[in-house]
Amino acid sequence: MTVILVSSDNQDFKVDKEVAERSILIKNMLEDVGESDSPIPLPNVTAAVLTKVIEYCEHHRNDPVQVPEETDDPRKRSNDIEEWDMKFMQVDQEMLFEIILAANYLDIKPLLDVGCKTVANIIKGKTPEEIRKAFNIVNDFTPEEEAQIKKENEWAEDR
Amino acid sequence: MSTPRPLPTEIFAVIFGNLPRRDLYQCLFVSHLWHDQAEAQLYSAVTIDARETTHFQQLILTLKTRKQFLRRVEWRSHSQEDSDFEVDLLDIFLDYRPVVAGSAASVEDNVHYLPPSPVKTWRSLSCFRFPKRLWKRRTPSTLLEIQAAAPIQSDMPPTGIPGSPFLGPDRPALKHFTFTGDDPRGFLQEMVLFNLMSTTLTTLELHLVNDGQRLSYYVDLERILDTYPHLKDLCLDGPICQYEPIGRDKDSNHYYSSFASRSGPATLHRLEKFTFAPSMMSRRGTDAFTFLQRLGNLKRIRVRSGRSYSECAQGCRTWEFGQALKQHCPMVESVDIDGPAIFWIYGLPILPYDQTRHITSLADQTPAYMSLVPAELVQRMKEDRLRLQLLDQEQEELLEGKVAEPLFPQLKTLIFGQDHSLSFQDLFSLGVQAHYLTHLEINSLPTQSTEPWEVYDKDAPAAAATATMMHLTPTTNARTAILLENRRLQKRRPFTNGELIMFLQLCSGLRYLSLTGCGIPLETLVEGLITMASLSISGRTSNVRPWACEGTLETLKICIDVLPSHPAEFHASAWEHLGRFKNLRSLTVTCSSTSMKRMFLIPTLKFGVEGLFQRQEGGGMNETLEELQLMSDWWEASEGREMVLWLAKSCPRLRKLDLVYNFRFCEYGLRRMEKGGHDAFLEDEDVKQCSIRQINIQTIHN
Repeated sequence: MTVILVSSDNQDFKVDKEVAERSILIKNMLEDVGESDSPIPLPNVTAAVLTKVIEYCEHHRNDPVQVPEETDDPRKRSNDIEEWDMKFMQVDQEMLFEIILAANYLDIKPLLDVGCKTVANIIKGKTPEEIRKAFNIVNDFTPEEEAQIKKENEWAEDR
Repeated sequence: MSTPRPLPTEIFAVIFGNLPRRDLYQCLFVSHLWHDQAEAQLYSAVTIDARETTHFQQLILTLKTRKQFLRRVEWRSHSQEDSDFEVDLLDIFLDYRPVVAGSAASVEDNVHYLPPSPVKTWRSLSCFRFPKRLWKRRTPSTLLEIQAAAPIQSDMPPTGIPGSPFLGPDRPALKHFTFTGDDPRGFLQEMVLFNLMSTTLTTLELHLVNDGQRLSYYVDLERILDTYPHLKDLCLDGPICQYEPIGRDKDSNHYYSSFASRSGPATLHRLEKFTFAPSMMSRRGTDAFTFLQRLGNLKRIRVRSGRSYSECAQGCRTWEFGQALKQHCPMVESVDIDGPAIFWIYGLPILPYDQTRHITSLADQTPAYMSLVPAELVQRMKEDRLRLQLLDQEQEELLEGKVAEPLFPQLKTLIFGQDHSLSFQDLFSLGVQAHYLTHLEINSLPTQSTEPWEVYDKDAPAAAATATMMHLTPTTNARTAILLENRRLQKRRPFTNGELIMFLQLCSGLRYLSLTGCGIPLETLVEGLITMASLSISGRTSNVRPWACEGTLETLKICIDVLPSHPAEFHASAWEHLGRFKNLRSLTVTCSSTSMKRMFLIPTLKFGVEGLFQRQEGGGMNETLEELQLMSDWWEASEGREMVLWLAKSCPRLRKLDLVYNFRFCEYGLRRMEKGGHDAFLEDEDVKQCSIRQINIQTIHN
């Protein structure tokens, strides 16, 4: 069975129901709508991003659904990203964040996790200045504020 | 950021959740937005350890204004270092405002009865330099006053904690609290525990370390369960834990608090995981285990910190505890026991005397051949024969599966650590009756102590009796009487290697099996080993009876002890048997830690290791294997490369290879220094390029 997804710029995408249901949002919509064949509008996702998202869901269509464990200590989570996922995420930064936002909106947890891990890997090992450069962020701290932060959080500075 | 739209808070939380502390610290300086998000993550999980943390004082000071971020706290207490910071620590953990109903649909759900104001307690604890003002701030805590207070209007901000009532900006929302230490003045329970933010706590762990000065530490289990209705994971362990409230009425039988009396399906506690010390099972009084009535959601049980069997056996009420668990906690699916503890998986009801005919009749028999035996040996032979017959009878009964009653019908996971007392009867019954068992670990052979094997259900009416009630003929001597009585009492005994193999032939459905610590001798595994040798069979016919879990097993960790004198065919036989596990994803073949000589299965082509992958019908573990651990002492320097490449070629999915060298047995340390030493093959180009991504060398030194 196939479903039709419509991006914000009015492009139609035909996908298998099984693939589309990797998105919990779409899954719930389909359950509510029932047998109808009408296309599903996704006003928050452009065609380019939706292409990528569908590509991910196609590749992972047979993955088991993960049950989230509330007691998981986030620090202990493994930081390994699969090879295919790593190549998949080699996109420019704008697209990377768009994918993350789309995964969040469509409620595709594994894609959200991979995207966020990719961003985390960009941040790792960098100084604040390097991070700002990587993400085009303006420094809005005064030197006094910076000194204050340093003082308050000294214990976290791993030497 | 160069994003067209700003990122929502919860995405920041996921990104920062993947960063270690050092990187979170760097993020604090990037921008105001990043600072706020990183700070929330940084202070969500904190370890308080006066000895390990640099700038400890500064951490405490900062925490006082960051309480609202705390979700997970691990407090490793060192009484000396902590005493300077006592007031500050309490200020961080304790919450003095009254608990008010939140936004939940039912007011009852969020309003709960707080323990009575500990006015008495603070006076007795006035030895602390503890400002009275902290106590005055605590408003009176009776049920009426709570209900009278106006409920907070609920706007549910995105706190990221599903289902939690709106708590306000400064409200601590602690979810996980772990305490490790000795608490010498005993102030932990009264002051800290019962004043933590109780509606959000889902994990509470108290590990009471023995400081050598106290004989026992009293833990009020019922009161803790009462105070934390949302608790899912409770751990109260430590070698000196006693599960009784202090100051109980010594004469009364009902000194556990009223937690249990409010029972019924509507008041089931949410607890799913419970960890305790063996002394829990020695609780006294008729209502010792009635608290289990409200723990119907319990799924996982762990027993830890037993000190010795002589201690465990004192006043141990294993049978009653087991029955209470069976009756009130039907959903238990995981049992994990480490260290000395007398814990039963199956109940074996004692036979009343009028049902012992089938036992005593065995003693009455005198087969014809006995008349040929010299008189002085007859008695001994009769006893030996009787012992074997009783064993057979017991085994048959267990195979039928009607006598042993399962205390955990939903059992899926079972783990036994060091010094355990898993009996033959329990093991056998698992093989026969445990239909849902998928994960089994037995990390050592049963204990050598005698106490656990002397325990039986002493309180059963059938237990008390005198020997004259048993239908013993006048000729029965004392030793025979003991054998018969032990059988009647269904006394347990440790399992042997042969019995372990029998269990494996019975137990189907296993997915994870770890038997490290139980070295299985090759002779036990391969039947007819001696006949093989004597007939010099050159073909590789496998004489190993199949194990029931061959089709389902995904992880196997095993030690097979093989004497150095055994020829290669015997090793090959064992490898071929291992090759039967067609769906294996992870295989570990190691030596038991107690083996004195080089007594293990040799993984080289000369010794038949290709039997692992050769399946006539195809579809063996070479298609599924992802992780492999082998003892590589036997690999000559030249063999290493050949073996690794062969493994990589045979198993396309193999990603991780662990090679273990036992330091004692090989000159690994010395050879490594020389060029072309044992691990030189790791530098080889082909090995580096092969499909096995991780090749690790481990050395063990036992």
